[in-house]
Amino acid sequence: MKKNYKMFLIIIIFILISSNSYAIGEIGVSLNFGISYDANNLSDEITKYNTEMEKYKNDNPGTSIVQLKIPYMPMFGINLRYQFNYILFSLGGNYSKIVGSEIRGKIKPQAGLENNISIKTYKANFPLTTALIIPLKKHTIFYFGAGFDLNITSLELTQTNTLLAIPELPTVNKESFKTYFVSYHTTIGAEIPLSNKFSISAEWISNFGYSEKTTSSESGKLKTFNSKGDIISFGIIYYMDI
Amino acid sequence: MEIDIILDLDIMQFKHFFIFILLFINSVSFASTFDTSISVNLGIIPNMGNNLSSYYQKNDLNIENGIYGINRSKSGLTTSTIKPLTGTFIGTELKGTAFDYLILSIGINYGQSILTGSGTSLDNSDNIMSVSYSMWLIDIPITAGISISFWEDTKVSFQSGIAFSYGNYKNSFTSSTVNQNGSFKGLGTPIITKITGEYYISKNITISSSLSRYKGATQVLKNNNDYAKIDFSGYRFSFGASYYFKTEKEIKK
Repeated sequence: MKKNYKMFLIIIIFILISSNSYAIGEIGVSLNFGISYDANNLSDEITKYNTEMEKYKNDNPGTSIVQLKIPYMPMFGINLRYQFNYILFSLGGNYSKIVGSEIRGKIKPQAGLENNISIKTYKANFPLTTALIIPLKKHTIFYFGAGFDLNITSLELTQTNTLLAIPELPTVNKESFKTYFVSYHTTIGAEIPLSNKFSISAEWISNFGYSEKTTSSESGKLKTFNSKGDIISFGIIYYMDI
Repeated sequence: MEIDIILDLDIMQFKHFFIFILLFINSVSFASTFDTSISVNLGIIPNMGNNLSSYYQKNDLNIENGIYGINRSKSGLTTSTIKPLTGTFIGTELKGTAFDYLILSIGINYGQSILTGSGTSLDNSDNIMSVSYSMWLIDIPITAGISISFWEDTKVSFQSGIAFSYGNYKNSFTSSTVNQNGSFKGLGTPIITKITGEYYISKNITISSSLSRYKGATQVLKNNNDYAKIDFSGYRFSFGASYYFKTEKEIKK
């Protein structure tokens, strides 16, 4: 891992030195939007819960259930971009949250109390990207690059009745995890000018990385977050003269 | 009850579908420079359906991750390798390009697993077990994005959107002690990210290749005392040709 960081730094320094020194570059601010499916990769867990709820329903006639849905998570972000000859540096912040704030599921036996299940989750990430630009004309560019992300993620699952003892579901009423970790990403994108100051952009970002194991203070369960995923991020960029 | 759930899903999804269609028509009406194209695409879907796991495989065969863990062998017993599904698909797409760079598209694809997904393994009692997985799907992808034209005859586009996908996943496990068949059918709405490159071979015709990433699945479905979801997630690679009804610019050929 240390070797990779060193190689990354050597490449960046080499590119900077080999760039023409007369250019002072351009600074831009970009507002971004995209939509992802299951940004915190909870689908395996949710599928296990839904399967066990369906099994319970099958084994206990008269039970009704509402499966938990795997969430769509819109992403909003802002980033600061600096173009220096053929190099693009970008530092940003993105926030993804479930549409409708939480996922809800329910299991209602023929007799007795029902169990209402809800999941809240969000992801905030702060990507630092270096990319190589292929200029086509002023502000019309392609770029491809890579970088690192600082991720902050949170997951909270609550239940109203754990006495139903559905396998896979936690045995406590509330279980929560929160952690931060570093992941990395690759990106390929393009920009088109709308005017002298404004451009629109689209970029495909692929993210990879895992957190260390984090413990729920309520249940003691361990969990690893996975940031793997792809998103197309659309943006509006304002370029400032410097 | 299952039919009710599917119908509820249908109504919700088709409501969104019609909103997209209205937006599409709206963009046609207002764009001063609007071009429409129709394309035909052929492609492959590696790892179609992903791990194809199910409750039966996990609880009765003790296989946690479906087709990725199905291969078992033992000295003196001959089994064959069961490989993840490889799918192929054919599709068509109607695409509108406004102001030279904004694109909105709707398509339809049919995909089918081919060649891989069957063979022999061992059941829990080390009997030879015949295993078969298969899947087909139909989806209607709706995407929006931006397109960049350059070098007179080339364009690249980035698109994101959603697909209305209907899938059918079947599995079968047969040995002297095991006899289980599952057939799962359902709807899902995966998210799509897509990048496409196009090259004009004449004033109106382009050839293209694209890479798409789908992410999404159905809810958990029940069949024959087994439970599984149909996973539409994964990459798709395709090649195709498009016909533009109104050429955007003269191509020097």
